[in-house]
Amino acid sequence: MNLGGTEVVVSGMGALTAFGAGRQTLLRALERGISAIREPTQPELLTLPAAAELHDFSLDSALRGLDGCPETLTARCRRVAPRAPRSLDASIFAAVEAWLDAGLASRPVPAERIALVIAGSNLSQAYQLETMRRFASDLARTDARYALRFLDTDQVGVISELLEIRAEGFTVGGASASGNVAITNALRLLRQGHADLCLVVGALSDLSQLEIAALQNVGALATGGGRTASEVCRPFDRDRCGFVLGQAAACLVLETRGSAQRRGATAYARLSGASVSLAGSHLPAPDVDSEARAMRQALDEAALTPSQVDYVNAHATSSLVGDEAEIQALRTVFGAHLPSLWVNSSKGLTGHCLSAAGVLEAVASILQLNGGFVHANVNLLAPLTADCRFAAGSAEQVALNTVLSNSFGFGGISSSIVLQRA
Amino acid sequence: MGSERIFSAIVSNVIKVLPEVTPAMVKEQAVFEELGANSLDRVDIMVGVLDDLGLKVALPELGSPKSVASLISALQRHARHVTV
Repeated sequence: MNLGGTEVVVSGMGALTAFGAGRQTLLRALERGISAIREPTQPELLTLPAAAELHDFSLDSALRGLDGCPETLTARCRRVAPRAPRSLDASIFAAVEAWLDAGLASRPVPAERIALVIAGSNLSQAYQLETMRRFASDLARTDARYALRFLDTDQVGVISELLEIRAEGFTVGGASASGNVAITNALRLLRQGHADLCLVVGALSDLSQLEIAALQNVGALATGGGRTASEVCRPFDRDRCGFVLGQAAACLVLETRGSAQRRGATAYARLSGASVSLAGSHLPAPDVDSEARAMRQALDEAALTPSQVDYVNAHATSSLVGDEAEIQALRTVFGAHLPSLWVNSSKGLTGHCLSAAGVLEAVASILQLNGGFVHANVNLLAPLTADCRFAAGSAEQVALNTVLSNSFGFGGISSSIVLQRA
Repeated sequence: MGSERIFSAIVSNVIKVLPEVTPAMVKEQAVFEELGANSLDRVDIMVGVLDDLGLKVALPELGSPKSVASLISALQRHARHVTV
């Protein structure tokens, strides 16, 4: 359903990943196909065989490293978000990078026409558990700022204050599909005319030991299988053993074509379709039918046939049942076109970044679309199937026009977005 | 408790919470808002002062003092009931 034919483009991107700060760092990692997955060092993650961790991230120094970031903005970040939980700091970095990239500092859009959608829920579990431990013996001393910080919507408040955003703003949850669910909502908001520009932030899911332990017990997290850390994450491989956690935040600036043209902003890609569908199940098991429906609906919305898609950035987390189900869903949707469709999973490089995954993988998809390549599938030595055209162990130069990116989450939430050359 | 000791605890916490403020700007008649403190900064200042003075007072009991002078008198009111 394309309301009024409003075209929406991506005019800015930001990313903070285990490779480091900035979308250029991510681009270099995608080109080289080197994974950020290592043996974990953070205390919360020590029970895991492997993870893609944010190392030594400090908002202040990350912002200083950003080209053209005004010192006044860095100072305002310090002032508005003192002692912020890591997820908030990560979102601020990604949002500021995308904001500057979109040229909004020099060619602004009226504040009342800018919206903000934060992808994810329960974003600061590590901070919550730490705060509980700190004040449990004397609750009367509890840090007053916690009253704001425990709400995910604190990210809406802080980022809208920093970047002067005054149209609509909210958080949206869809478990691991949060990123795509947020992009879908932002697209509708722009097409319905509620704003001319919308920042979509895929927020870092900062899990505590409690969530890690539960995800291990439910059988979702990789067991390791005795492999070295760098070999644990193997999307679409027969020897995969569960997902490997990644830490990241990413941001897309979505803008109506008209607004981008008025400002003379660069359009990196066109967001031509986005769709979410439910399996009607609360269980973690994947659902082929809702995954296929999400892909078909996104393509219908973009007025494309499956054979027009060049490349799928798969959800594929290296999960035992999930990767298999996604292949079945791809088979259902793409049929005879499947063998000529490129498929890879960015999670082999970045780990599974949960709430941020959809937005991060949209950034990764756009970088490949414009760079004319598909990145490597890491550790894919024994592919699950022979009828998919998996990218190999190193990047392949390919002319791409149309990309479909999947994100699926617990709660039976399946989502797909379609990105095309601008 | 002497107001001198309370005052110096307030000064050190104001400059900790508000990096742009210098000690000389924190006079007894200074209003927190005019120093650039928002509602949360004021809470941070009060918590810091209570910690530095070793006072155990529930924050809501201090009310919401708007100036350095009113925070001093709120603290003195409570300090009478505790051993410091």
